Amino acid sequence: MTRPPLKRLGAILTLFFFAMSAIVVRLVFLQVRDAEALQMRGESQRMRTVPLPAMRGAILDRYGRELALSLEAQAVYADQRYVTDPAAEADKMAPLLGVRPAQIQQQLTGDGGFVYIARQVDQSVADKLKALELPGIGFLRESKRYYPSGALGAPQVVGIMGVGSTDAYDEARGGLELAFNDVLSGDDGQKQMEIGRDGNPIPQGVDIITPPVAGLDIVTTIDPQLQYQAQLALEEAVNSNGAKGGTIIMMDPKTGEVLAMATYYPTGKKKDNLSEVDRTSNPAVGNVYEPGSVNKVITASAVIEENKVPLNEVFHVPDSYTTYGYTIHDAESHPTERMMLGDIITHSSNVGTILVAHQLGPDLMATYLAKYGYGQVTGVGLPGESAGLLPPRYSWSGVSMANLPIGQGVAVTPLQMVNVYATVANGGVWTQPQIVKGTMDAAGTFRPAEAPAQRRVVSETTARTVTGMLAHVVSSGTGTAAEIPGYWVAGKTGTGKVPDPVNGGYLDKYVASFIGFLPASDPQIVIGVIIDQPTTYIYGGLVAAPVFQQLGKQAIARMRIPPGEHPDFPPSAMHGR
Amino acid sequence: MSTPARQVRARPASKPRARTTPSRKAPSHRSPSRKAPAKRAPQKPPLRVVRPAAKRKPVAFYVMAVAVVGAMVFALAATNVLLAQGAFRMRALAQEQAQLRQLNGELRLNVAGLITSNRIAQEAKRIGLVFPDVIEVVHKNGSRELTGSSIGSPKPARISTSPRPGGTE
Repeated sequence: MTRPPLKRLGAILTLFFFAMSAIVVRLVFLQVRDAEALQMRGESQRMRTVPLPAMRGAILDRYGRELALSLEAQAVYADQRYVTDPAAEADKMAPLLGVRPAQIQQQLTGDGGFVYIARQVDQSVADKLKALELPGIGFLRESKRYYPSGALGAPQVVGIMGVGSTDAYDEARGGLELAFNDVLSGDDGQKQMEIGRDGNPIPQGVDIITPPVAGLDIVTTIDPQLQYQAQLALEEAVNSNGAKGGTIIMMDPKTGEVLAMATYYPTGKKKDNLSEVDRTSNPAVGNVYEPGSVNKVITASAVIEENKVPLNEVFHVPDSYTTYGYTIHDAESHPTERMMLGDIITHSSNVGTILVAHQLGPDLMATYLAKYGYGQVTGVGLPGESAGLLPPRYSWSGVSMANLPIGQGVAVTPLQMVNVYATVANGGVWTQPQIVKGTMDAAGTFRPAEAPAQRRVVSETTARTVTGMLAHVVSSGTGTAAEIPGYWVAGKTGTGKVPDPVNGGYLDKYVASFIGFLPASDPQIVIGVIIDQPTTYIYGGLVAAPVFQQLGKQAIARMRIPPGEHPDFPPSAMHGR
Repeated sequence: MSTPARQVRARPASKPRARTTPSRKAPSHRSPSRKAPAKRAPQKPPLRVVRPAAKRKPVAFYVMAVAVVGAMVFALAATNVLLAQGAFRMRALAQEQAQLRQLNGELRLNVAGLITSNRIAQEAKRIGLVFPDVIEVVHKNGSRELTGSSIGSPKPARISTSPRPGGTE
């Protein structure tokens, strides 16, 4: 009997032992030391995370119609390393993308890897491009912003989305897009999935979706029809008067809701092209101007509220007034007139207003300018709002009481000035202007915005008295061009001078304005028309008041405003003249 | 499956019998050359192989086991197939949902464009409508009867001189 081959068996056993040991060591390396790194490497090879961008909320008008909305779109990119024939691929893509083939070919050529070919491509176009199955061409989901009403849909109020740091159109620029960017943006989600070798998801593989949370819709106070009419009327007025530009604001005086906010500064470029409309700034809240005679309503209401001037007190008003070497004229030359306060406002006498203001005194003048909101932002919620320029009381000179009461030496935004008239129309209560009614989520749940701030500026009696004066302005004063047959309109003309920023003083340029409301007895709407530097006529009564009349008629029809009662006109010393 | 251990049972002494089958490990197996002990030990009963009682083969058990395992395998496979089908269907539905969402968005945009004041005004202008020059207001007294008083006088809208394409008068 032969003995077992112990040596051979021992050798095999030893070899086997070392082999097993090597495997164990390798396993320890793989399973313990490198486990995490290998796991991550494996996941990176088969796991793909696709961003799910949140759909940006829409901006709606007061009736829930879209002023701005987002739709899904695709970004087309190329991985240059996998592009086989740049020229041929460019020829196929160019007609669909509407660009020159050479431009695309340049983007496709190289070995740099990822490069965007086109952003925010409509889904239909992207589908056609996908069908071409071009090597090296890929697609990424993103959203595209649309503004259906174009340049006539309150572009400065709505704002615009621009190209941000990530090369996408995700940067809010101006208007509500910027002011409410956090609310509109929502929260992006993501989809984690396991990808097979062919690049398709493994049906039973990992599929984790963190759904995006869509942004909230912003419901504005804009009435689309009034906005459209305001925009058209403004363009017509600016163009026909050879003006630099202009602004129209329409407000509900009781709620402070801005119904329309139109701005037009022609650039000489096609207006319907969105890129040619400056949506990033809003002169209605960002630009300031010297209001001129529309400011006299503050002087008048202050002296009435403070009982400084009886309504039947007669002033002897010359056509010019000189103080500290500074002479102020009335708009038209006239002999010294006997005027009551109502006459002074009706005929917009600068000299008469200064005489009245002297009864008030600078401290009260400063107080009422501030109470009406001068020197403070209104808080309407639009970006870039200016507080205006109201000289602090301590800096007033002797001339200040000669120019501030007539709207010189002070600068306001169009919205601030229109809100002064809204205050009078609202019975003397200043109401914070509102451009956003609230937000609405995807389920259609509406959450109203905070109630606007309010404060009483003058008594209801004072407001009613001033309204009578303003109605007299339209019926027989400087604002007759704003008269609407059958309605009592209250308003005031203004012709402000344009300051010379270089040499000081004033340029030979003017801002013509008319701000009023109707019906005078129960105001439903305030309309402010401000035409910047007209070249045909300079007076608000000739340039802006007709625009007010046109818009007033359309607002009456649109809002079904009934005629009101006859307002109480102030006593006059000029009857029969 | 292990075979059942042999059962060894003692036989009564009065009836010695020859062993039918030799057993190497049986304790009573002795070499013939060995001497008998001086004092004869009490004779142990010879051992014999006892055949286990005949058992029926567990055919039913096998069949049932195979059936259960088969059913489980089938259920697993079926579940797998259903899951796969569900996953494919979910993917198809997700794609359909995306397409419908896109269509909804396009239609929403289309509607938004159609209801803009600009388009409506252009369409109205095209068919000859104009904004009234005079506002008509009918007053209503407290008894809800129309008084008939109005402001302004009605004026017919101007009709476009160019005929409306495809329209009827």
